[in-house]
Formats: sequence, C-alpha cells, structure tokens
Amino acid sequence: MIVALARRLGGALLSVALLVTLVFFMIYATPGGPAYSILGVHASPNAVAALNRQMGLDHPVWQQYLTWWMHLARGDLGYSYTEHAPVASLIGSYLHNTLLLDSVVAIAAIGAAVVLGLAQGAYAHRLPGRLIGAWQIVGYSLPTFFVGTVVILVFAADLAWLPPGGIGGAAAAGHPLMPWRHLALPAATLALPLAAGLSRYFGHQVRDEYRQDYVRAAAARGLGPARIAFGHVLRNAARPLATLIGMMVPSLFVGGVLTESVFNYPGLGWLLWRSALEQDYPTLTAIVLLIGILTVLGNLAADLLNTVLDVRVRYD
Amino acid sequence: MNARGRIALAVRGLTVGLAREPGARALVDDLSFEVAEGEMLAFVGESGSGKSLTAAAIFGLLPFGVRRLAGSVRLHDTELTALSERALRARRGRDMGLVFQNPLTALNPSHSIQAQIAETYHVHKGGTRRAAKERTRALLAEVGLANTANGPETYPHQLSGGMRQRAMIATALACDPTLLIADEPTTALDVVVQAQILDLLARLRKERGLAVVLITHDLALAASCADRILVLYAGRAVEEGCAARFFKTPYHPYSRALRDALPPLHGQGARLAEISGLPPGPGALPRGCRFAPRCPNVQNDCRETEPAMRRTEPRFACLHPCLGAP
Repeated sequence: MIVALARRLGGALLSVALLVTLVFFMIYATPGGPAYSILGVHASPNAVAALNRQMGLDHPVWQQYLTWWMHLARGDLGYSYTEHAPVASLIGSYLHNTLLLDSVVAIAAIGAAVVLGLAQGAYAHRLPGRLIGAWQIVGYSLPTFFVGTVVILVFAADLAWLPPGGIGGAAAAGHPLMPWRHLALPAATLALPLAAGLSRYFGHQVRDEYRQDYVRAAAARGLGPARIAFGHVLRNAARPLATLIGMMVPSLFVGGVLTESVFNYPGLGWLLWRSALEQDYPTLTAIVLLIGILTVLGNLAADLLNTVLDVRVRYD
Repeated sequence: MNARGRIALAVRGLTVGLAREPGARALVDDLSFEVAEGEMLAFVGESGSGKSLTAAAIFGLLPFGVRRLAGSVRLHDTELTALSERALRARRGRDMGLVFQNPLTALNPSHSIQAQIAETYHVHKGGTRRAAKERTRALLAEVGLANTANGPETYPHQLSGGMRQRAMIATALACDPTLLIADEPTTALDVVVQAQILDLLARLRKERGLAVVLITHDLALAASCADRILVLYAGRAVEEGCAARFFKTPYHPYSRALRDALPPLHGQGARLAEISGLPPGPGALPRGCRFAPRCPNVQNDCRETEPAMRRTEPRFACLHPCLGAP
C-alpha cells in the first residue's frame, strides 16, 4: 500500500517535471521571442539584442533552462509586461475565483451525474431512463457560448433574477466567498455539459452493473432495491467514474475559458484568453503550468480514490 | 418410491411468457411439479428449455419483459404468487435460497464473503452485528470453509472456484431456508470440485432436510445425485420420474435419446447417438408435439395433438412412448 502510494506520487512528480520542460521549450521555440512582443515588431535589432542581454536570453539554452527551474523553485513565475506586475501575484486572485467556480461546478456536476446515472441505470428501459438519455445528448451537444448567452438573456435580462456576470464589484472585493448569485449562471453553464457527459458514462456503468449476476443474486437473497442500488451497485459503478473525474480537471479549465469570457468572470480562463491575445508569455506559461499541475493532481486523486474503492487494487 | 417428507414446494400450471405478447407461445408452458423436504429434484434440459426461467419465476425475479402468465407456486403453506413484492422479498433468502452457475460473478467483487453472508442474515433476522458474525462463522465452517470462517475478511477474488461456490452456497443458506434452487451449480467447475460441491449439497439436504431443485443440462449428474428427474423440452415437461427408473427405462423418446447420448463408462463405445436438429425457438413451435420434428417414433397424430402429461406413474407426455426393451 505505502509502496504503491509512493510509486504513484513519484509518477505525478515526474509528470510535472516533464510538463515544465515541455512548456519551457515551447516558449523557446516561439517565433520572434519575448523581446519582439515587448518592444513591438518594428523594434530595431540593436534594441532587441540589448533587451535579450538584459533578460539573459543570450545565454545557452541549458543555462536558461536551469535558471528557469531555479526561479520556479522560488515561486518566481516571471513578470507580466502587459499588466506590469509579477505573474505570481497577478494570478492569485484569478486562481481564487476559478477554484471557487470550479469547486461549485465539480460538486454540482458529480452530484447530478451520480443521481441521474443511478436513475438512468436502474430504469434503463423505462421512461425515466429514456428522458435522462435525451437530456444528456442535448446538454452535451449545446455549445457553451450558446447556453451562456441564452441563460444571460433569460435569467439576467428578461427575468432579472440573477446578475449577468462579473463577481459583484467592490462589495465582493476581499470577501472570501463572493455573493453566490454571481456564481449561479456561470456555474450552471459550465456544469451542464460536464454533468451530461459524466452522467451518461456513469448511467451506462450502472446499467451494466445491474446486468451482473451478483445483482440478481442479491435480489434472490431478499435485498431491497435501495440496498442493492446504494450498497452494491453504486460502489462498483463508481470505480471507473473516479478515473473520469480525475480527467475532468482539464475540461473544467477549457470550458472555463469560454464560460468566463461569456460571463466576464475574472478567473484563470478569462486571464488565459486575455494573455493569449496580448502575447503575454509569462502569464500564459504560468497558467498552462498551473493547469498542468492541477491536472496531474486530479489524476493522482483519482488513482488514490480507485485504490480505496477497488479491493483488488489494494493488495498489489 | 420411499416415503416422502412433507411437500416443500408445489408448482401448478406455471406458464411464463412475454409481457408484451401474452398470446404468443409461452417460454415455460403449464409446468407442474413438487419437491418434498429432504428431496432433490433435477431439472434436465437443453439451454432455452426454460429451466432457469422456472427458477426465476419461483423467486418472482423474472427478467424485464417476461411475466408469469398463469399458475401457482406454493412454498409450504404460502402461495408465493399472491404475495406483494414486499412480502415476497421478505421470503427470498429467508425461506428459499438461489445458487448461481458462476460464483465469481454472482458474488459482489467489492464486498467480502463474510459481509455478504452477514448482510443477508441481518436483512431478514435483524439482531446484533455480533450475532450475524457468529452465524457467518458457523455457516462458513458448515460448507467446508473453516479457514475462511476463522480468518480475516475474504474477498471473492481471493478464493478458488470451488471455494467460491461453497461461499455462494453459504450466502444462500444464511437464514436456514427450506428450499434451495441450484442453477447449474457445478457447470463452471472442474470434475473433482464438481463432485465435492454435489457431496456438500447432498449432505446439507440430509442434515437440514432441505428441499433442493438442481438445474442442470447434465443427465448423468442428475441421475447420480437426484431422487427424481424432470425433463424439460422447449418449455414443457416431457417426463418426470424417480431417477433410478428414469435411467433404466425412459419412456419419452427425447429422454431416451438424451440417455443414449451419454458416453458409456466401460468398454470401447460405438459412435455416440445424437439427436438430429435443434430445439425449436419460442417463435417457431411446431403444431402438435414440440419434439415431433426430431422424434424417431413420430406418427401422423403427433403433428396434430399436443400430448398431455400422464397423471399417474409413469409420468410422461407422449402419444407413442418407447415401451420396448431399453
């Protein structure tokens, strides 16, 4: 058990190291280089050379690579020339907003997926199962920008129940949990395709579990439907779901880019989009790195969850 | 026939068919039989003959889309078909147990053997966790899993096939049922383990006075351990009788063909007899006797009238039975 845990942890660390290296060489290979994006495309070669010298970009690659690692280790993610602030401090508040939004989305999506998937699997051939199946197709296929726009039009503009976007201005500043009303629409928009996809997958798992002999055997021993669903089927069907939830982390961020832009929500996705437009490489790479690390952590969490759920994995 | 005990299970006119087309030909047609306490009745038939569906109908656990269309199922003094789902659920596992063919899939892989036995006991009998634990230990010892009984929590994947089937039998016996239905309990096991499991069933039957229905496609196995044999063909009983008599002089041409298809134990046998053709599907039953298209004794009237089961011994359903030398 301890050995398996250590091995998984080592694998996760290795993945992060590989990611750091990959990100470094991707920036290195970017045409033009940072000097041009700071000084503009019409800068004189002398000015570019001077800036490169100043930033240490005239050193050999391996030296730059090591320097970058050392800066990373100190938590120094570089300096944003467009925002005129250190990237590490710039990212902080955006990261907080995104983590808040994504936690709400993850809880909502997983909760909906478990409830709907169980219902769909248990009533696979009856009306509830079919209705849920139809909803999943619709929820999964509607594009985020469309859903986002529609919910803004309906719930913010027409009904005026909820704010159309932002995080609540000065009143929310410094508040650890911004007014929840500002979260509702972006969270629902982002959660919809995730809940649809997860519940479809989970629903099929549940249906397959219900076809297993052990379910018939449990019924033949006189166990009731609730005991069979929650005591026997849920756990076996949840095992593959844990893996899928680990892989959900990137889709949260990818979906976040669109959702946060539509709702003008100052999170990492919104910042990613902005810094890409403005060629703000330090910010961009820091976000990519952060998403990568969170993805690796998500997969690690899924692995650990699997170990807890599957008695057969525990002993190897 | 020696003196039989009290009748534990009595099935009368059981008919099972598709829920959507109740008019279509039944999957199990007008089946009647009895099992006494301490007696073992073997259902013999090819796949699709309705053996497992009969077991499912007794338990009230027919698959989606299949329904009991007629007939009565009495377990001791209780008419099971008249019970509500809730009342029937309380009987499953308590008064009657079901053993499946493949114990690896019929036991939940993520619950320990002990937990699955204790859960069954707890659901029906309530009581303390400690009582359920004691009961579990006693049961595991009774089915020959003494090491597991005294050892730590054991999961199905940690046991061999034969041990798993013993554990499966223990889950079915958790609440001292009076009826045990074993659906191909040894088909997934090798011959040595098969014999051990059958010995175990025979012992439990003797010690507990358990009524056992053994579902199998293996006539030799049925003949070696059952008291009586009931042969099913395409959803209908074609012959029923004491195992010894049955093996010596089967009356129904299908029973005789089944027996003659067994390889001889001694000597160099000739080419084995076979039954040409396939059993009819439920959508393509012939008029008259269902076995007529494959029957060596077939005559014109066989294709007109479906023979009824004789009410007195010997019991068979055939217009032109095999009466000559075996």
